[in-house]
Amino acid sequence: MTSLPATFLPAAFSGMRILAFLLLPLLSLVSCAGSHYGSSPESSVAALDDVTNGLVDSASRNPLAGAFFSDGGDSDVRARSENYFLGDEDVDGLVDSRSSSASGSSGALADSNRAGSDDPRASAAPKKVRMLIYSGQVRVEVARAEDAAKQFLVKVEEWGGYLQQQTGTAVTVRIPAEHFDAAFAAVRDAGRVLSESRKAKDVTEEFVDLGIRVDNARRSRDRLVEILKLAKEVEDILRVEKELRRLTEEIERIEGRLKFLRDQVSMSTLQAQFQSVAEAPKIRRKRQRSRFGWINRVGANAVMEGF
Amino acid sequence: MSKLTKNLSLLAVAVTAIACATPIQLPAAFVELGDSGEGYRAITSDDARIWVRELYDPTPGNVEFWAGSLERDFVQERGYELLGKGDVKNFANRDGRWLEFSTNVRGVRVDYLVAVWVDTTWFGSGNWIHVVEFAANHDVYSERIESVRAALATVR
Repeated sequence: MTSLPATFLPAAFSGMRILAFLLLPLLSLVSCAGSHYGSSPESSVAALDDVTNGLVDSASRNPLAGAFFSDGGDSDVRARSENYFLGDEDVDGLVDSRSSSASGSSGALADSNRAGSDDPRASAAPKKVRMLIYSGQVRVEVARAEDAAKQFLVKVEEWGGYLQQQTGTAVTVRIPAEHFDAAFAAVRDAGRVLSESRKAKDVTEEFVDLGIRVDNARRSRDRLVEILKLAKEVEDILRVEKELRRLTEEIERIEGRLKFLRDQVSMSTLQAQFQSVAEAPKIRRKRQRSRFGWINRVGANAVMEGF
Repeated sequence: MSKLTKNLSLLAVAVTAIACATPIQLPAAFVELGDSGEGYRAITSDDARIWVRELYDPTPGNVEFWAGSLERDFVQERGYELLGKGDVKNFANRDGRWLEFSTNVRGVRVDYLVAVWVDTTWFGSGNWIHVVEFAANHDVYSERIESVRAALATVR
């Protein structure tokens, strides 16, 4: 090793100290960044899982927990509800609409599994899915109301919808939700719009809550069945059976409501009223008395009242 | 009593009999109203009504004209529903027309039959229209109509 000049050593040592001062904060930053950014995509999902798992027991069994609401902007309660919802077999009606956002315990599970894979879609922020019941009404003035109504009904059939009610040229139809906008536009385009309105009712909360309730009720029922197997006393058996009946009724009621909501969401309701331009006002013409006097003196009214 | 007096007496009885003859032979269950209302009126206990009148109109028309005018007025102006129409002969074998309608009077369905015969005035400036009307609530009408139709042949 070549010896350095005595005067150079203090200077070199001083330069290293400066370098060390500069490197230390930089290394600290790198290590911090590594602990944060260096985690896998799974770890970010797992972190949200931890939150939801802490709130709901069932969520811990659901590998998709947290994947549904990846933005974290919603409240914990919402996240918990969705986790219940995803784990529930009864809510499979939503699976299709959610398939792009990674969820579901069966078919849609494929997307959620991608969360841990290299699929770029899995790491993208999934969208929230809303349960919306669309309905609307349009009143239009057309040249021939009957023809317009018939043509509209033909389109409704093509869209997979059906006529629910008809009064003259006013029709109420149910159409698949994905065709609601097209149907609404079709009525508007038929003539001059006299009035129109439409709305979307959000039943996501109710749907999710019902999912939680039915899930809890089922688990309670399963536990009661186990208890029933162990019960020895007649009195105990009767009490358990009574509770089982109550739970079964509750489950059926909730399932019915879920089915109804699913139907309402999948099929929109549209009221279309076609009104003829030349429709005459319905004013009854006043009776014209006969020019022959004697005719005015006869008739059913004269016999029954002026007899 | 001389022969002349006897003949005059017989003539007076005949004239009185003719003058007092009812304009229609009433079907069973009808009774003539005893008040002094217009025309000849009869009624049943279930409120079926017959009204026979002679009404004058200065317009010289035949029976087809007047029957057509009645139909048009009842259907187009009053909203009656025409149930049927046809020919009818009276006691003197004269041609007349009948028309049958359904309507509402004070919210109750009333069926109504009208038959007309037409006489021209002796000075030829107008018509005497012989009108027979029968009206009743639908159920009562259905029970009585056949006997009233038969009675139309007795109209004088």
